[in-house]
Amino acid sequence: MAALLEIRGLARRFGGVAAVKDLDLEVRDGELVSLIGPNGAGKTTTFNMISGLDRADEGEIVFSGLRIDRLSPEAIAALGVARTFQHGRVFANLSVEDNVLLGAHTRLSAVRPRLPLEGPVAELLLALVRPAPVGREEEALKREAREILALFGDRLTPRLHHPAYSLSYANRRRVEIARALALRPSLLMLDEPTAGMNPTETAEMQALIAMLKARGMSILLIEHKLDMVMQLSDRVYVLDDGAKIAEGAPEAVRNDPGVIEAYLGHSEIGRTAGRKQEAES
Amino acid sequence: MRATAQDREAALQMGVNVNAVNSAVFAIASALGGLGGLLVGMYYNHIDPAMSFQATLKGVVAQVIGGVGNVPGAILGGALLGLVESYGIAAFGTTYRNLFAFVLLVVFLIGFPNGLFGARSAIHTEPLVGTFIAPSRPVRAPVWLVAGATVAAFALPFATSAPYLLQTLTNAWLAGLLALSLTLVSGTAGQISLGQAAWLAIGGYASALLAIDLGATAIVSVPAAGLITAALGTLLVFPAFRLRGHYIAIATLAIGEIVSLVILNWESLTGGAMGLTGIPPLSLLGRDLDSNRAIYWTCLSTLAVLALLQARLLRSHLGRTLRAVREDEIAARSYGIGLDRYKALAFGFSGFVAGVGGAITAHLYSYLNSQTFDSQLSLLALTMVMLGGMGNVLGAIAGAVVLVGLPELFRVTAEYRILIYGCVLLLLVRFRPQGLLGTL
Amino acid sequence: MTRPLLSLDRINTFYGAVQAHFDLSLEVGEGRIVSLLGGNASGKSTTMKIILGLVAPRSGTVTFAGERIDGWPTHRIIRAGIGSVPEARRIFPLMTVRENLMMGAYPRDDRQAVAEDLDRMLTLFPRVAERLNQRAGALSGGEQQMLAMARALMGRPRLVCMDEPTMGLSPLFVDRVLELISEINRQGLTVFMVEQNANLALQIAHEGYVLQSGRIVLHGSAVELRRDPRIRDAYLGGASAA
Repeated sequence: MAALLEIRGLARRFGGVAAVKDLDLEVRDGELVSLIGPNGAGKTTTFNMISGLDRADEGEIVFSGLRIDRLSPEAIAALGVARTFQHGRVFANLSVEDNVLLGAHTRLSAVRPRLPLEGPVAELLLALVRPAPVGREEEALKREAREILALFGDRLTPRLHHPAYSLSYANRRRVEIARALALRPSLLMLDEPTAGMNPTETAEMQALIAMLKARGMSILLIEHKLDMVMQLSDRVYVLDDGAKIAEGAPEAVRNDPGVIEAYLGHSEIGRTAGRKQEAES
Repeated sequence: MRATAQDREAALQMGVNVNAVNSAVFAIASALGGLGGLLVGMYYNHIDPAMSFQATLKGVVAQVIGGVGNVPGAILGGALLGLVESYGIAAFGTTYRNLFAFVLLVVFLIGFPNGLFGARSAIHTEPLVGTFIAPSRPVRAPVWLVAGATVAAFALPFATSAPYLLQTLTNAWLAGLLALSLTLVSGTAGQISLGQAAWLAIGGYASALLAIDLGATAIVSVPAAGLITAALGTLLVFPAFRLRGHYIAIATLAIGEIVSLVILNWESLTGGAMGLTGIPPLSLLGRDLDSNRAIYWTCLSTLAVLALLQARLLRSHLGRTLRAVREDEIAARSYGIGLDRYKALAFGFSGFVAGVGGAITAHLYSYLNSQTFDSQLSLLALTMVMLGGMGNVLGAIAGAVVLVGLPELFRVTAEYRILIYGCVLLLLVRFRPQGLLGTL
Repeated sequence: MTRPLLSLDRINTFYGAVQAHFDLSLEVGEGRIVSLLGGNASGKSTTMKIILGLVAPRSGTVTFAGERIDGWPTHRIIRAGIGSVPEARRIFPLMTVRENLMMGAYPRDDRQAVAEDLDRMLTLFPRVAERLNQRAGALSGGEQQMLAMARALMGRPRLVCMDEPTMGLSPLFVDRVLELISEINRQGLTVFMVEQNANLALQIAHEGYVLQSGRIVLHGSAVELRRDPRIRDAYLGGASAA
């Protein structure tokens, strides 16, 4: 059976530097696949090419049987691919609710008629006139947004109408994920969702991702926190310097000596420096 | 200087006295500008206050051609502009002089955004928050207050028939239409537009020509002019949609000037410098509206209806989408929001509102020429919108009433008004960028 | 005991009506690595801004090498001998690596010594040396962190302030950054480090302060803090929390 997402021979160069070289990757339905590797390995560049923000120099990207490597980001979103960003990009001056509702933009049919030329004009008129179906769709979406936000316990629900810029960093990243879920994606792409979060927050996020996976969501994850990667992933791809250096089940990858050398350094992070310190103090 | 420009806070933490550096930059730039002005004056044996605006625009053109921050580019850009202008004048006549500058500007902005010599950088620095809007919670006026004020405004002509008061407020309502149009496109959608007066001109001329040449009555020609302005205006700005931030401001400024110059030069259609005379007054059901009261109510009702529609738009999903375009174009695109489509919608609706405003004005003045809607109006529009709060519908109207009404009340003459608008703008930007009623 | 190089005494900071610090006091002894730990909303970043003069406290004093520096403009504080490695690196993206390093030496006019320091930095940070003429924006996160540290050191500061130096870095770079911090400290530099990950910070710090909602709730040597169960509950990650 064909995979949900298939990447073959992907390559991208910036000036003289190859950011991604001849990458093959796939995500099957219901899988959680992790992309790990040192900084500068090409992970976010790969994400950008999948989501349409960047165009590959070579290779193809196939999603649900469709070639998407030449499509615009808007078209790819409409096909059911939702992504978050490495440093978190929320709509800062908009409320939490507005952010989440915008995630559902591609799903609105009453509000956004798909007619080609008259479409925009019709959309404007519908916004001004607001017939009943539009109102109903909006109400249904607001209920759904509340359900999505409830997944985060009471972190976001009491702040429904607060502007996103007033939220803490961790909450902003949660809003970003809530927005992605509102798109009801077939593929969810998370770029370092726990960057900058303390261990408690990281554990909460990990539980959330595990729950989404349990519900059948297909997820492509970039992460540095290896414990999390090992516990959540069905399969792991390791990138270094733009090329894939290992792939497979988490255990297999963790024990691959090439991976350990290129990426992990020593198997015990930070302990070496720590031992030197203890010896001196 | 480069460090300060690239990351002000990081430069501070390198020990750079950022304020001193910025002051030095302005000092050097001003000195060079002054020197240039001296040379121009000596060459033409003539100087006047109006020189500055044209010179500013030409400087911008030269810079865009050469590439921002590029010194040899600036020199070459200036030379290129001068040559094009000289040959153009020789070929077409002096009234076309400025047209070349602006057309060249627009061509370069859209075709060669980094200039002829600017480096093409593949590095895109990610903005933390990509917006010019000052974050604030808008002041929510209670419904009864707004309703009450509206009723009072409508009832005013019953309480008094002082012509001066009614005329002043009528002007304020018309200015309100201009403010509404700008606050939607620049406030809500985040597309800074500095050529808003051009939309008024298109609307005014469209309605006047429909009335004069085709005998259309106001009830037909005014909305029609609104639609024409919406379509034409959007078409003109469309190529600039790919531009970011302040470049779109420059592009709209240039487009505004181009429209004005085309109107000046297209004599067969617009009457050129002579303008259009004998524009019929507004009429409803066959009767001319010539009393102060009738005109007052017409303008107020138009403003009220369009303001209500715009407020409705803001509360809809479309309003939410426009604000997403303003906030973060990359995140917006990644969630299916087509930028061109929504920028076009914003310019379209705002073009309609401005066009209607221009059309009504034309019928009231009964005479139009290319100076009627000049760039000063664009500045007024910006000041009104900033005063009221970007994106804020009530704010736009409040800004219009304050900036048009108060100077009239205190009998401030026209020359001082520009001074006042400029000062108000400076004070706002420095002390209260979110305006009186807050950004939306 | 000798006078501390840097001390904050009863600092109270406000953002509008919201109070961010409550009588915050801490000391950094010369030649030590001192770490300020805390979660996201604890006020750690604000502390850095107070020291660097980016935000003014409402009350309290900041003293550096015997002089009061609260109220000084940032550029004066930097010139007094405090180097800064800002949160999220903040290197100048369109300038080359070399130009970034030279910006670090901006306040200095001893050209010969600056040139020597540049060579020293390139030896200490070989990854940076490899990319000397590339635009800094093209470097990966870990390389940018190295560059930011080297840049701060080019100013020959007495005290280096680092704001979350390990955030967003892959394990290999975290390792290297921590080693480098230890190394420069061994060469005589005092380090004040704000970190969220207590586990990492306490590997190399001599002592730590724990900040919670604007108040110091714990203070002690790194060894003491590592064993203190109160910290462990809130902050220590790694094997125990997974």
